[in-house]
Amino acid sequence: MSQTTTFLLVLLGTVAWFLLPLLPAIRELLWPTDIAPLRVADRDAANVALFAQGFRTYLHRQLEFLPTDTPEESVGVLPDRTPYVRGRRLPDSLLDEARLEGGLDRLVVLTGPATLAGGETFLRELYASRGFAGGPRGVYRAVLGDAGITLGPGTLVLRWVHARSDLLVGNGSLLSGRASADQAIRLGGEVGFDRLGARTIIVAGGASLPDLPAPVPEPFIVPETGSRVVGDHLRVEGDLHVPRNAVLTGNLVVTGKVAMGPGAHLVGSLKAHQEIELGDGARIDGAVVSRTTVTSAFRVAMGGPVVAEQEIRLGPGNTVGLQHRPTSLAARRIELGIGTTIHGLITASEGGVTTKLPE
Amino acid sequence: MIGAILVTVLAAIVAVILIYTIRHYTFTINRLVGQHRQPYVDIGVADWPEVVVLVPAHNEAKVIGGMLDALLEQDYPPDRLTIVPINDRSTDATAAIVDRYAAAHPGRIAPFHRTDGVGGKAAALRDAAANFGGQVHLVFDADYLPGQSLVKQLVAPFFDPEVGAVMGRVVPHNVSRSLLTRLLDLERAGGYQVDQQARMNLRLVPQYGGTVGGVRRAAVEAVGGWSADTLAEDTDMTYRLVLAGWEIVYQNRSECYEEVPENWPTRIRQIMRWTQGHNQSLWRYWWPLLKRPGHLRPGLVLDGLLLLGVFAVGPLLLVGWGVAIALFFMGVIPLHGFVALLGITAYGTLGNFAAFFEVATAARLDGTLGRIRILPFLAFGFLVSLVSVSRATLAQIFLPRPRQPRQWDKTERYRGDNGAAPKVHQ
Repeated sequence: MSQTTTFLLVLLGTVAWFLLPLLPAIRELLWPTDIAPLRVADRDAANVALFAQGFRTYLHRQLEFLPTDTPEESVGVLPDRTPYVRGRRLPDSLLDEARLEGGLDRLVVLTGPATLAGGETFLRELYASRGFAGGPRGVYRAVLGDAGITLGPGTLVLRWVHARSDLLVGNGSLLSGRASADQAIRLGGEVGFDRLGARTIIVAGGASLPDLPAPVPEPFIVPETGSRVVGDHLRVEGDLHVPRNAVLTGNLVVTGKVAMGPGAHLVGSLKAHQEIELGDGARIDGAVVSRTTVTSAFRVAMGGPVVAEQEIRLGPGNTVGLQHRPTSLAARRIELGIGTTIHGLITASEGGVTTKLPE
Repeated sequence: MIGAILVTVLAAIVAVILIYTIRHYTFTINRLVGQHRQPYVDIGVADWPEVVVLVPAHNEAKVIGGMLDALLEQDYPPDRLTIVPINDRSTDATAAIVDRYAAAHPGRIAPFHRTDGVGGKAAALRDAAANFGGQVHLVFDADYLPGQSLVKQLVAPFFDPEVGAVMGRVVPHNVSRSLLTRLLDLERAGGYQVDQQARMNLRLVPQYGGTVGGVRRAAVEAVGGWSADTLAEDTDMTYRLVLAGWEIVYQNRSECYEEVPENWPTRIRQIMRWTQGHNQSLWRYWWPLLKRPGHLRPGLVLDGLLLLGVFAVGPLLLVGWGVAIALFFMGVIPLHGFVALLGITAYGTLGNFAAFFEVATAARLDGTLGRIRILPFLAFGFLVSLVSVSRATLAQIFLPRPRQPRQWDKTERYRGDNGAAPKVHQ
């Protein structure tokens, strides 16, 4: 073998060795497998009823394509091979199946008002075109109701539930995923949730709560030391305590903790780098934002949005948002006191819960 | 003597590169194991404020129609959203298209035509912003394609009274057009998914990027309005807001499609423009930042300084390589460790505008594992960037621009002439 050949072989080997790690790159360049634009997240983010809307569209399309001679009361498979049952009520045999350990593995379409005894498990979606009342300890993958929906105590919803009018949720239930209603959601005690959306979301027990006497407003000016105006807000370095019944006007940014005394009123928005504590009857007209937690006492009112990067704990009888000005409440963990009313959207990314109702 | 000086210079350069390496590894590890911070993403329902969307446009006939269509389809309350296409002395059909849209949508589109004054995006923004109210001013480049909820997503953080500016994520939609577009897609992913989001997570300085984002009008007015004498009004605004005590928010979920350069000459011009604009901000703000106003945390100041210096690192690296070679031929051998360190960290740290490991991490987070295979080709893009950034920096230092009105230095557009938006995923 000549020196030239040896040189060329070594050169070839070196080039091949160098190109070896590039083979996947060259292959992807010449025969792309992943070249589409990245899918962007858009409409799903804020629409709490998105899945319910998608299911409604899906179901109508599937039912449209059923053979024309399919009776109103039928058990079979939809055009996409999903097993279903349709009728004014569930046949007893299928109710029995739903109460067995495995549950009912059929999409359920109820065309009449229905009330279940309790203990059923539905492994696929349930659609009720009239009122629907589930019994205690029901398990649902997802429920869509064109009228009101009542879920008994101890109900478990795995993905979503949406009611065209009101959604009533019994004590000790768990609403995983999204729960929404076009009108109101009424939650019992110790109800767990992730995302809730409705014009009005009410935690039971409000009727037993007393009213607070109207506060006597007292003007309050934040001390100039340690504070300065930044654009359209006042920035306070350190902690801030707002005295009882004090009234402040303007937006506040506080780099420490904020404690608002009972009856204090902020006509503006509040941001704190640390905890926010709101006393009985305190009121904030605008947004409330904390990098840690927001804790409110009795009958506190907030215009919203209310955002805490860790936790929100609302005391009894709180109000967030207004009927005509719905808003958002968002934190990793949220606790809602009895008699609390929220207008709009609640998101607890690590889970929320209502407090236990008094005996 | 000369050898000792060169050794000192090289050691300093290696130290700087190492600092950037640590910074990028910190960001990457944060994105892999840290907590994702997006506090405002769940504000989906609210009493939305009045918003003005500013779309600076100079000869954007190919794309402006698509942009206006997308803005008209926003799910934001129409009575609180004013769309302002800023036609800055266009010589193509931009003005006619904008006027046609305004006539077809009275009360929703309010065109702003500029016929004189200082040229460029910054000046156009300054003039237009002064003519419109609203609490929030969003700014989009004309080639962008916002999804239906994007305006709401970008406005949501402004409920926090401390937030002065918000930046969304830029996602290329013309990925499949060339190797360059594919590389830019990777680079954008690393820059936004990892770099920007990590800075958001760590409460550092996410950069307001000026193309898919917005500012609080009161904040902009409080810091003196848009600067017309800069090539990077976004970086300039970022630092003025930070120095004044405002918070910049990056929202990774607020994604918007853009059109990236499809050929290298356009890309090189873009890099050079960015370099000169960013370096302007470096000269202006390194000292005010270093003096550290009392409200700024040391970590935030450090990150701000490092962010200011990103475009200075390229030339520094080239100098480092030159010094290392010089030392080698001078026979100063003990430096081989330094040189190796310089080479390795330079490759791993700088990449183009996102380090290579950041790009790989972004692909993992995005779940786009197929496209990561072309990562080795980013080395080519890295060298192009290195040379372009260095050229622009040297030109800035040694060839000061004559004092003349700034002009638009536009990125070429590739979309169809009818201005219609291509079909994209929603």
